[in-house]
Order: sequence, then structure tokens, then C-alpha cells
Amino acid sequence: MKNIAFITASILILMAAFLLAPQYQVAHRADYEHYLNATPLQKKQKALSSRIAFWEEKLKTAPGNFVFQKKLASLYSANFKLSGEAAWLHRSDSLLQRVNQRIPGQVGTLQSLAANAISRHGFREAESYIRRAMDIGQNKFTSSLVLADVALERGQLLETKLLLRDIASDSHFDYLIREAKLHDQSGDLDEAVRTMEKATALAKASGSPPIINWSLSNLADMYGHQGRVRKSYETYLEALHYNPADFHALKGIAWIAYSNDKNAEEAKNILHFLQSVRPVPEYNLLLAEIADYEKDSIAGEKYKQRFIREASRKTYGNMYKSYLCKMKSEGGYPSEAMKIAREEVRERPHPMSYNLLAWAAFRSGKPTEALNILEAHVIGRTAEPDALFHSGIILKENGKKQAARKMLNAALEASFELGPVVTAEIEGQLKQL
Amino acid sequence: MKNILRTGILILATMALCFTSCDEDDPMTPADDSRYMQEDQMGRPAINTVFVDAGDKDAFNTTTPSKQGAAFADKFQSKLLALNPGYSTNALGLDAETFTSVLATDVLTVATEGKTTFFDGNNVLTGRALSDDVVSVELLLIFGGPEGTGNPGLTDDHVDANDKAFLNSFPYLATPH
Amino acid sequence: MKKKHLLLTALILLATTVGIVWAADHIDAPGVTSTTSDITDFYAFQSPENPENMVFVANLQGLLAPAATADARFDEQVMVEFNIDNNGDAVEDLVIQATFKDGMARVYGPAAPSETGLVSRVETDGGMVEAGITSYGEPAIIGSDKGMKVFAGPRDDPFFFDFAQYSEIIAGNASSFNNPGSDTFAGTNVLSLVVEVPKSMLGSASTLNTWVESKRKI
Repeated sequence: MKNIAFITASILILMAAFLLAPQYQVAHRADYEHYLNATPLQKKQKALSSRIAFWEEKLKTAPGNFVFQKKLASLYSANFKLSGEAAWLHRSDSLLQRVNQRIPGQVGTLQSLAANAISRHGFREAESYIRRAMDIGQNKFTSSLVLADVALERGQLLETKLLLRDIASDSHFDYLIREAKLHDQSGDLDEAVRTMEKATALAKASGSPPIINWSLSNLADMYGHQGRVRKSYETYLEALHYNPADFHALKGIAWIAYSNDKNAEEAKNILHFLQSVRPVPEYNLLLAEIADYEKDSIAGEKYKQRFIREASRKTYGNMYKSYLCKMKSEGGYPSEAMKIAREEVRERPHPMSYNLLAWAAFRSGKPTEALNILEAHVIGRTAEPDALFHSGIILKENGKKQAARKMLNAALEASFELGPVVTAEIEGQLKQL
Repeated sequence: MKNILRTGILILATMALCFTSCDEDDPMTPADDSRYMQEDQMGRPAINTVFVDAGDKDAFNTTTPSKQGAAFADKFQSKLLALNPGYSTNALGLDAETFTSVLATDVLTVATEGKTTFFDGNNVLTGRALSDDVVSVELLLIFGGPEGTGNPGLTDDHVDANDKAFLNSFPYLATPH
Repeated sequence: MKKKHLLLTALILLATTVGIVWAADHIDAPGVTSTTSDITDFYAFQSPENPENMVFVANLQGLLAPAATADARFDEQVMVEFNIDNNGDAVEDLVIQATFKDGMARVYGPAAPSETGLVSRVETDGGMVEAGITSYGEPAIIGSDKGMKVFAGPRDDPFFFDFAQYSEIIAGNASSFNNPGSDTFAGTNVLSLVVEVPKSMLGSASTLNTWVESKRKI
């Protein structure tokens, strides 16, 4: 009996020691090294290309055939998601527009147009398409899901809740993942995780590898939000097991290597790999962040400029606007940032867009205006660490020390998510309070 | 303390980490308490496509056949007359009301003896075989009038057979492309 | 003071990078998965091999390009149910149910359902015949028992129709079909479930009303 107590105590002490160790390495290259390989993505690209070739060939024999055009449109849009090249999204859109003109009022066409618009971050446009689909009435379940996506992106929590309530069903994966997102945005992360776990279990029960992969990848993100880094890492690995070309999961592992393990070299390795197989602007942002951490201002500047150059390309439309806005705020162009933030607020009146606007105002030297925006639209409406961090600094600058401290401490709880550079900044700011 | 325990559980879970193959259940035992809810249904070919308005499709797919007639016969009749405003009767001698009241109950009738075919000139609606040109039969009944000679541009889609030969033995459908 | 602060915060370009991995707009939701229950077609005919048997065919998830076929899967949460009414009231007296799990198709019945209508349970009273789901490019796996045969897997879509031209006519863009027409479904595949069953298991009626349903586990 005594022995058991002793063993239990030892285990607890060991656990505590393990926990209290300032950093412990979570990401081990041996676990994911074989995924740093272009072959799975190339294989997917090849399969998608031959599907595209099949329908293009059919369309050649029957020009204007709307069935083939719609098939192609959805494959073009899948190719955008796989390759990150926005040109595919535009090709998809133009086919769908043509079909919608020629044979108007098809719910499937309108739903696809709305989904594409969401990918382009054209939320108002998406809403107008999906409302038309809703009015026609066919396949209302899907239309409600897409409308809920739009409402959620636009920060309309109550509307999202009502839409989802009407179609609530624990047996539909498509429903559950929206419910999880709603909980997340409502600030109930634990419930969001529980719901996403339910969705993942359902995906596994359905036996579809792409859907299982998608849920695991998103679940891993959510574990990261919770600060459960190890769980997040394992879930990314499991996601990769179902889809070795899951660049989202690899990006998550890169973040763990950097933010938790402080292993900047390894994070850079993963990101350079991702950049080489899938050259999209966003990896430059992470590389810039890591360069800042390494106090390598030349590399930092290089990646920032590269991001701005690439993400500003017209082909991306609104897709990277919120990041560009933050970079302009920081990079000494606050009035440009204000302009982008105002557009964002119009397109997407979400607390996170107001967070951008407040930050741009603050960086323009208007702390009072920034505070007003925060108080009206951000504080108490989102638990996103980025907003907590900005709010803390703006509150501090407005002399509201107690509120600032509270906000910054809340942000600090998400230090894994915010990364070491921001965490150090918050700690420095707190010391001044 | 609570945190330590939770982490302890996490570490254990890590050691036991495995993928879906772990949760094998006995394949011979159906989940006997499970219930299944209807999402889609079909009886006669293309009837839903032709006669059901977009706004009614969700309801039509989840209305049991025994209740479809009452719910949809009138709508089918309006649809028929919208498609073919000159409809009087068709080659089966059915007026609009009779024809659509048959169609609205979307079941496929099958004879248990003799030839099973959608229509072969002699047998009518005794089943549906793989090679039956069901679309042209339906177009003829909708647009062709009592003699089957009306609206000649609309009574045949001029696709008369499948692109791949069917098999003589089970499972009869051709191998995939 | 102010200036000093601005200098300080100028260091935090980090604010820019925050939330790259964790952005509120996560990766877009995947394509809607409920289409795995879409029935594209239904056939019922006397067996070409044996006039004492009836064949039922249900096709799902249509318009598969050849390169998309190997990845197509029966949804393991979805049951496919053939319904047979043998007394003319359009209410099912017998059902043949198929479920899919771990590469196997399991076909139950024909059995009198314990519950008719929109909600079903697996009816095990009529026994079960199973068949491995045939993979794309492999010879057909046929399960057989108690006089029944079962096949599940990808097949050429047997349907033929100039669906595109039909839609153009309905939309008012065309006034007639083309001759020759163009088979919208040519060259494409579907997921098929084929069940052959002795007619003697379907009751004694000379005419049956039949239809197929897809149902999702709740």
C-alpha cells in the first residue's frame, strides 16, 4: 500500500518535472521526415490533372455542355486549393458564370459560385449567390451550410446560430464542423474541440480518407488554440497518415517546431520545403516571423517584401487583405492600412476586421479613435489572441492600465499560438504596467 | 493538480497513439440499435428530374411513395401542361390527370413473370432493363400526343444505347472506364 | 515618451504574422459530403442468367471520371435499401438492405421491415450475404449465398441521355434535340450495388412496386 503511494507520488513528481521543464521538444523530424517529399503532392496533382483532361476532352466534343462545364469548374476550384494558384479559381468562376447565364437558377451552380466567392473572401457576393439558392429551395441543407459559413465569416454569430439550429444533425459531418466553428468563434473553445472530435469520429465512421484528413488537420489546429501542443502535433501526424500531401498539417508542425520547441532551423526547413512544392505567399509570413525571432533583420525584411509583393497581386483579390493590412500598419503605411481595414470591415464586419481597423488607427497615432473602435466592436466579442494583444496595447496607451494588464495576461495564455516574438513583447509591455 | 493529471492522461494517450485501424468492431454484428434516416429515393428513371420543381425536390426525396400521390399529383399535372401545353392524351391513351397521378407515386412496377422492360412495343412498364431507352419512352409519352407523332424534335434525344456493352452474366453492368 | 513607445512597438512586426497558422478563417470547409447518398439510378429486371431470379441495381455518386473512380467510396454511414411492395399500396412489405464497412458490402434480406417509411433499422431476420467491394480495375467480386448474388463497386454508368440538350431545351435555349444526340454520361462511372435474388423470396404477387432509398445512420 505504502509502495503504491510511493510509486504514485514518484510518477506525479516525474510528470510535474516534465511539465515544469521550461521547454520540451515536441516535433521530432523522424516522425514526419518522410512527408517532406514532393511525391504525394505530385501524385495528387497528376490525378487531378487527368480528371481535368478527361472533362476538357469531353467538353471539346460537346462545346457548351453545361454538365461538363460544371464538373470542370469544381475541379478547377479543387486545383486552386491544391496548388494555391488563384488563376484556377478565376477559371472556375468564369465557367460557372457562363453556366449560370445560359441555364439560370440551378442551385448547384449558385452554391458553387458562393463557395468560390468565399475562397476569394468575397463574402457579400457569396451571400447574394447563396441567398438566391436558398430562395429556389432545392438542397436547402447545403445552402444553409454555406450561408452559415458566410454569416460566421461576417461575424454574425446570432444569424449563424439560427441557421445551424434549423439543420442541426449529429449525423452530418458538414453540420458538425460548422457547429464546431461557431463554438470557436463564440469563445467556447472546449466545446468547439468536443464538437470537432465528434465530427472526426463521424468522418472515420464514414470511411472517407480526405474527410478524415480534413477533420484531423482542423482538430489539430484547435488543440493548438488550447495550448495542447503535444496533442496538436500528434493529430497533425495522424492527419498526414491519411493525406501525406497535407501541407496545412506540415505548416502546423513547422509552427510547433518554432513556437514551442524554439527550433527555428527545423521550422525553416519545413517551410522551405512547403515553399518549394507549393509556392504561395503565406509561407513568407512565417519565415519573416522566424527571422524576427532570430533577429535577422535582413532576412525578415526580404520575406516581408516578398510577401507584400506576392500577396498584393491582383489575382489574389481579397484573400490576403487582412495580413497586408497588418503589414502596412507595421511597415509605416498606416493610412494605407486604414484604407484596407475599412474595406475589410465593409466586406466582413467581423470583430477581427475591427481589430485591424483599431490597430491601423493606433499606428496612425490615433489611440483614442482606436480605443473607441475596440470598445464598440472588439472587446468582449472575440477571444482571438491577436485581438487580445492589440487591445491590451491600445488600452495601455490610453492609460487604462488595469484593463490593459487583464487583456495582455489573457493574450499570454495563448503564447504558443502567438509565438515567441509576440510573447516576449507582451511580457515587456506587462512589465511597464 | 488537475492539469498535471490531464497531462498525464495525454502522455498515456500518446503512448497508445494509433490510427483508425485500432477501433475495429466485430464485422459480423450489425449495429442493431442504429437507425437510418432517409436522404434520397428513386423509382422510375428521370421522373424526379423532369417533373419535380427545384423547390420541391428535397420534400419529394423524403416523402414515402404511398404519400407522394396526394402531395405531388397536382404539381405533376401543372408541370406536364407547362412542358407540353398542347397535351391531350399520350400513346398509352392517358389524359393529363391520369398520366401524372400514375407518375407522382414514384415506384417502378416490375412483373414477376415474363419480360421485364420499361417499354418494348408490347410490354409496358414491366420493369427496367439496363438497355431500355427509358428517356425516349418518357419523352414520347410527354410530348408525342396520342399517336406518338407530335413535337418530333422533342420525342427522342437520339441517344439510343449505352456507350459500353452490358455483360451477359452477373453483375451485368459493364466494367468501369 | 510617445516616440519611444512607437519605436518600441515598431519592433513588433510580429503582429503581422500572428494567426497565420491559426487564422480565424481556417482552411475552407471541404466539399459537401452528404452527396455520398445521392442515388443516380435504379433498375429492376429479370435475371438474364436465370428467369427464376430478379435483379436490383442501385447506382450512386454519378459522373465519375476514370481518374476519380479509384478514390470513390461508399459512405459507411449510408444504407442503400431496395423496397418491395407486393400488395399494391406503395408501402414496402419487404426490404433488401446494404451497408458498407471496411471494404465489405453486407446485404440483408429480403425481410419484412420492422418499421416502414423514412426511418429504418438493419433487418437481420432475412439473413445476410456479403461481398468484398470490388476495387477499380479489379475483376468483379461476387458474393453469393442462399440463391442470392451481391456485387458492389465501380461500374460504367449504364444510363444514357443527352441531359445537357434536354436542359438547354427546358431553359429555352434550344427547341429540339440534336440528331445524333450526345450521351452526357458516356465514358463515366458510378458506384453500383447489384443484388440478384430468387423471385420466390419476393412473395407471390404478379406485379411488384419497387424503389430504392438511401438512408444515413442517425
